[in-house]
Amino acid sequence: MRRFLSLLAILFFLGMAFSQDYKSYFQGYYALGDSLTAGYQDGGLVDFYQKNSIPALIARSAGVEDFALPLISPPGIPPLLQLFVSPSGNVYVAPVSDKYGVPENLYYRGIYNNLAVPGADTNDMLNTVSDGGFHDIILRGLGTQLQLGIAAKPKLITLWIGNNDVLGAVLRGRVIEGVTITPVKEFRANITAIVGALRSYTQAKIVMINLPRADLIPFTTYIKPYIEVQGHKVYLIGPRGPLSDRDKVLLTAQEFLSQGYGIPRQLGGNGQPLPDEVILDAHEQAVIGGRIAQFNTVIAQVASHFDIPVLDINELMEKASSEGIVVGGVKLTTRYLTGGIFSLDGVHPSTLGYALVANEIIKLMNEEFNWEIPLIDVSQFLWSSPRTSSGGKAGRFAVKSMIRALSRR
Amino acid sequence: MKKIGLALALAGVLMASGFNISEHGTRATAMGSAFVARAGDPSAVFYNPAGLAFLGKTWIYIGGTLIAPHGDFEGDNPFPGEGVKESLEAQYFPVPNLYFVRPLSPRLTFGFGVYSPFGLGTRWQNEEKFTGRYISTDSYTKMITLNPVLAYRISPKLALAVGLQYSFSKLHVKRYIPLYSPFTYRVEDVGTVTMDANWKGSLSFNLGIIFKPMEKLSLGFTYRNKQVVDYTGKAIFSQIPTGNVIFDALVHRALPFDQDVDVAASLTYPSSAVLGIAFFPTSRLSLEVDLEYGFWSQYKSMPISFPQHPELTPAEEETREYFHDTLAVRLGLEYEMKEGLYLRAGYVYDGAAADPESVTPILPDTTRHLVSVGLGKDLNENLYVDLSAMYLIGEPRSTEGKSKYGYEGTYRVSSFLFGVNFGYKF
Repeated sequence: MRRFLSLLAILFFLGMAFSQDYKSYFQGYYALGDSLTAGYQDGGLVDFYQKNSIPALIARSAGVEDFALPLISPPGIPPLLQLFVSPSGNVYVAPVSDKYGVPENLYYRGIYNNLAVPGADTNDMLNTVSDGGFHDIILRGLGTQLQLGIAAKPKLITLWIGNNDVLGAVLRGRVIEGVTITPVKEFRANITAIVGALRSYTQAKIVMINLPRADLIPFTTYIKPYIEVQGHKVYLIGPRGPLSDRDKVLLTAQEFLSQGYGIPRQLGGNGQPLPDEVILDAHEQAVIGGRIAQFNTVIAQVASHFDIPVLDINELMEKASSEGIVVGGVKLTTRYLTGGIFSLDGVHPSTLGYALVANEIIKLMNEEFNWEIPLIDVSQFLWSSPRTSSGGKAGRFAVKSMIRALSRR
Repeated sequence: MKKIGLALALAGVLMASGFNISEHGTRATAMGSAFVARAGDPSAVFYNPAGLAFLGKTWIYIGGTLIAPHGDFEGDNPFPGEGVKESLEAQYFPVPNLYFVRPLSPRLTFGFGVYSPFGLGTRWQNEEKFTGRYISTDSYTKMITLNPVLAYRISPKLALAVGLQYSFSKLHVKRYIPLYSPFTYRVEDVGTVTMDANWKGSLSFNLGIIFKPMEKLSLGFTYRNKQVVDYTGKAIFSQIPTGNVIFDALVHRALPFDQDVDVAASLTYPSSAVLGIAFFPTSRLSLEVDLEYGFWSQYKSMPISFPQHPELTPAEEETREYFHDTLAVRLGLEYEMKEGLYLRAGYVYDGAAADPESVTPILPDTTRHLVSVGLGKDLNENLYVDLSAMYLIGEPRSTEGKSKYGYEGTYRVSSFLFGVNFGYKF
């Protein structure tokens, strides 16, 4: 009986040891990626959002207290967007300031745990050290994102890269092969090189996240290609005449629409067409959608080759878009402004949205590695926001011309 | 921001069928409601109408049960988070019953009962701060059943019965309406909605058989058919100002505040079947074991619609419920201590009907254990009284991270039930 009890005790402590196993891995957790990993939100990168970026959320849940971040002071780089109300009562989104935030943690001795660089694509991760923008703030001239990720001697890596290999085409409303969108062959070579290097030169456990469908983000879904007048549709005017239901009007069309572009004269517009760069036609959508699917196949193949688990982000994305994600009876959706999952830029998630993704990553880690990392309490982001006051003090570090907000090119 | 989608998860709001009550006679209640094979008083109208065929006299039985539920909730991540504690407000639910039995001929007996098979509710403390307030802060269902039955004694050993159940029921639910505000970057409480379904009649039936193969043994079976009730009623939306004039104006435009809004809902109250066996080892002692099968898988969804406001009607998949059939085991004994004084006791194991998905603040369903004791005393030749006390303890029930409302945690419920009935035999 006593032997049985001691065996039980050993099993118990072994169980404890296994479930707590993750803590040692999290002592060397580094995140590689782009704006989605950096915690970019409301059109900018700023400290209170960076502290709630996906890697920071996961690390906090795993009990990490010193997760190093390339913090940027408010109002952010670029300054965050905010909702304003015009004297006539119209609501519009605009930067909170024309001043920029400044790096607050530039002299950190060591490599930031969150190495993700907004705007970075797979090519940047492999090759870019400096671009006069975010790369300089986050990599500080010490190497490429991949080089720093290896030099850090990581024990755990999350890798979410490739969004900007296709997002440029979405944001600019134009598919230009090799410029706004990466050819599949190049993407495959880049991903293979990145993952191969991480596998060869580190001992880290790796988790990858694949690419979300761009046709579901509010940036492409919010503005309809028509105006409803007494129950029937009057289509907006595009560069090739009236748009159809198959066209997507991008959020960037708003400033043109507000000046009357794209709206027929009889409806009070100026009758001039919307520029091509704010519209994704059916062909462009097909190329972008197909490319994302191809990239995700590449990610799946490469990950499987290196035995790396992949979070299929589109399971969450499609559910959010079709039926919504229900949290405490609150139905969160991908709807712009009031859906709760996306931020004011219509491309990047809100903190709530990031927390939902972070929990999916935690679930995947727990499942794949037999860990018991607690899930993140999302009530803190449902009923309060890291963004308490708008603005904050603007810095002197004017980098407006250096930084291109959403896409590097 | 021309359009504002008020993502109202109104699905399942009127879900209430788990509030069923099995205590419809104090004598039976004192024996864990294990009464199907004996059915030896007028509450047999409910428990097993075939029992009436053996009563042999005109008999009135009247009383009720007072139910005092208690419930707590402890939250889990991801929502509402570890450390969150919620409690049900103390409520007392009186559940009356009334039975009348009259033999029409030596073989045929008429019985009539009025009882309340559903009549519980959940009201959470501090509703404006309750973390489950977007699901329900206060809901209840009430059902009153009129149940005329005819029992026929085929032989001294066998009786059959059939009854009509005409029920009136109503539902009530109140919840808060959340909306994410792009001004404050968080979810605001923008209003409340209170829905009341009108009293609605529905028709069903019950059947019973009792077979007494030998003197010391009785077998009983009863079946109560399901009821599908199509309710109509009113919803009232009340706005809660958030302090942001623009946001409040948009919310005001999006919802039909301060007017009666028609609402329609359909609810299935499932069938149940009970099989019982009773022993009479001595003339003073009887024991009974009952098995009750609840056809809860009949309850698949709770469609609800707003005919004037189709945009508020939840999608079909949102109204889905996750229930499975249940088994309850009931044990009861009765001992006649001396002439005219009875001691009773019982135990019930009642399996949970809801899957973790459907374990909610509206109905924190769980597997329950009940213990009961009671007394019966003759007051004079015609009049007697039954008393019962019962304690229900629910097994702690976790949503296992699967809650359909994304409201995760563990519920703990318990309940005291006190019963008193007076019987008068003519």
